[in-house]
Amino acid sequence: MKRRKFLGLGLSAVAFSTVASANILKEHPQAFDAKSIEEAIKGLYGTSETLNDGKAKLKAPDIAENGAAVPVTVSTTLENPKTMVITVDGNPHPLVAAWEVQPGTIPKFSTRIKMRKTANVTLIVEDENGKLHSVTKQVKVTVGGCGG
Amino acid sequence: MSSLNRREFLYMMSLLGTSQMFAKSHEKAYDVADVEDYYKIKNFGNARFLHITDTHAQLLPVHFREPSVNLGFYSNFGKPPHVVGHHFNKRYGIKSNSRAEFALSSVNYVQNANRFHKIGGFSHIKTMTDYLRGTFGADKTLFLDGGDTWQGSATSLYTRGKDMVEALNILGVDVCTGHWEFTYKDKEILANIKLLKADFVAQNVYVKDESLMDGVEAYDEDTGHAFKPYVMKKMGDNMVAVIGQAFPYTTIANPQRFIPDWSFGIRPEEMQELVDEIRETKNPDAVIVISHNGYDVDKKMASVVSGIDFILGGHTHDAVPEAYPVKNSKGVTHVINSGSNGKFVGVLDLDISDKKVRDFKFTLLPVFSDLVPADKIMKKHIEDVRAPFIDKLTRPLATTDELLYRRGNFNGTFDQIICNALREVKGADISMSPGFRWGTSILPGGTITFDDLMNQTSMTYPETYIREVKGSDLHIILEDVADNLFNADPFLQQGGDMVRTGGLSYKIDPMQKMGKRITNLELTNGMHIEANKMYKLAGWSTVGSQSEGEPIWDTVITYLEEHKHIKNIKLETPDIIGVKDNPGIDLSMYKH
Repeated sequence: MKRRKFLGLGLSAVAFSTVASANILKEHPQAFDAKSIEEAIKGLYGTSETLNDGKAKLKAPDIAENGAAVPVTVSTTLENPKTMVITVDGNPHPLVAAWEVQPGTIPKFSTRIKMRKTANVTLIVEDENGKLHSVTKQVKVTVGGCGG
Repeated sequence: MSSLNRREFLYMMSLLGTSQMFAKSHEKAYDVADVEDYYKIKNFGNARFLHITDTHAQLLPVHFREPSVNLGFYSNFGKPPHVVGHHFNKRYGIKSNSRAEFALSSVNYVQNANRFHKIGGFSHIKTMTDYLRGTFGADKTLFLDGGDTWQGSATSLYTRGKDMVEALNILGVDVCTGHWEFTYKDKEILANIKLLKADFVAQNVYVKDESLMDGVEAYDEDTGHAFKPYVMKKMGDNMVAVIGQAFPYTTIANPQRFIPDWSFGIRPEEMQELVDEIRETKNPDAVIVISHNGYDVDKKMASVVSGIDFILGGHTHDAVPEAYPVKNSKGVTHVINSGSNGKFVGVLDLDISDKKVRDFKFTLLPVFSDLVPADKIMKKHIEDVRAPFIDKLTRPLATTDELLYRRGNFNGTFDQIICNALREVKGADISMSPGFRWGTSILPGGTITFDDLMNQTSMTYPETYIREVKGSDLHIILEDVADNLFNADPFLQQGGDMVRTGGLSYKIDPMQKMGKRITNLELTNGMHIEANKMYKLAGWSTVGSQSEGEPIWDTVITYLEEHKHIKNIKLETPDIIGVKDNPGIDLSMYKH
């Protein structure tokens, strides 16, 4: 498939996932306002305990080309994931994205996130039993301008 | 694979060191009938790679002093390329006052430079590489250029890199990748690549998704690659894959505004997928990467990506006379770096059979311009390129008693001139100049011409600025640059040297974490920098947006014409903590 066409499809997928995460928003209206990751994750799932077992996959740059729009791709090897969320520990409101994964869809999403400084980006995936799986990667945001 | 390459190198260097091989060179300087007399490399194996990188548009032979400070820490402590000066001489068995020392080492630089001729120059490279290709077999030889070729001289800027594209075509280069190439405008870059007879490859440059949606052209719409990621090349009976790796941090270390649609990055996962795909579907006899990652990034990439036989790297300007083995999950990848400024040609001979590289030999050959005669066609091209500007280029600006150079982790003498010029001409408390690794050297007793000045400053974003900056922000800038240089993770190192400062002294502890490396910030008069106080800062080469001031060369011309003669330069270099036993610094040369 041509990437341009795929991106077209991707846009509709994003639209779809926004609808899906609207459910998350409805059920947990405070989550996106939470000031800490623990508060946000506890608010969403009732626990903030996660397994770092390699089942959550996160792709993000080592150094951001543009802190205002850092490309992040998330996916999982889990069979029937229910939800996937991204947090950034350096942001004032650390919960930055949430997807509700519909049965039968490929659990892989790409988005752009805003980061004001160097921070850890974490993906948390909720499996069908309600267990949480996570992966973290540090993304550096430089002031730039004097290197070379 | 054997360590034959290093032994062979030491053998060759011992010849160079005792001058046996060159005993008759002085009689025959410039009229050597047969290059074979001097560059007797025994042919080895059945595939030869010739490698140049980071020539920075130095069409003419140069003086370029190798660094006396190139610090490595953690797993890179004392490992190539972080071995300099007397440590370097010891590691590679280089004798004092030999040609090898002149080419490769910072020890006795002025003495050697006064004794021997300049090194490099494209017309000499042309003669040498034609010879190396001809004696081995043109059908079995590939010529690779690692990038930073289209920038670094006045004429490269005036012709927007086209003088160098033509030089590469005359050289007969087969495959290229890039970094400073991307500091021209995207349309100019694409036009130059069309003129280039070589394949321009980069697996790690993508057209941004949003740009693709807007209809921006990509090399491959399926994958989003902006350029061809790799090429398959026939070398005798073998098929070899050559993958390109452009400088991953181009859009961070250099302006994005010239190339708004392209996204870079190291992209090791994509590299692994590509290597696997090539291995599965193309049945290659060897897989080679032509890289502009920088030495330490290449070493880490070689450890996390498997299936690459050799990485021919550049960017960090390291003249390392050995192939460095790196273990990974499926075997060993060797990393090579062939110096800078046209001083060297890397010669990598492979013995390939049954789809495997059985053995190899690597030689880093200095291009001694008095031993290798100039090629006439290239010489004519260079003269033609320079002719329209020759009066401007040869204009003398000042004379110097000092050796002027840039290369090194901290301030060089030419940077000191730039920093002094910025402070004096613009009336600033403090000045900053980027830690580039390009910029040629001028010997004591020499004249600084406009050409020389452009070799230190030529670029597409030379504008200067003066602004008020808070003391705390000065600290943040220094910390940020120091972290790009000394981060424990090579993937977070951008490959430049420390920003040069004028009027500002500090202490640096490279082993600390970001935010804690820089202390004791002081003005030249001994006053401490206060976090909340404002200071007048002058600088140039702004990445974010175009600055308002004149180009830096105008600032420096004003300074040089005022001072006329450069002497007693007071080099402002920081106190470095914890490097007493580090082979990446020759303390006998630091602050002297």
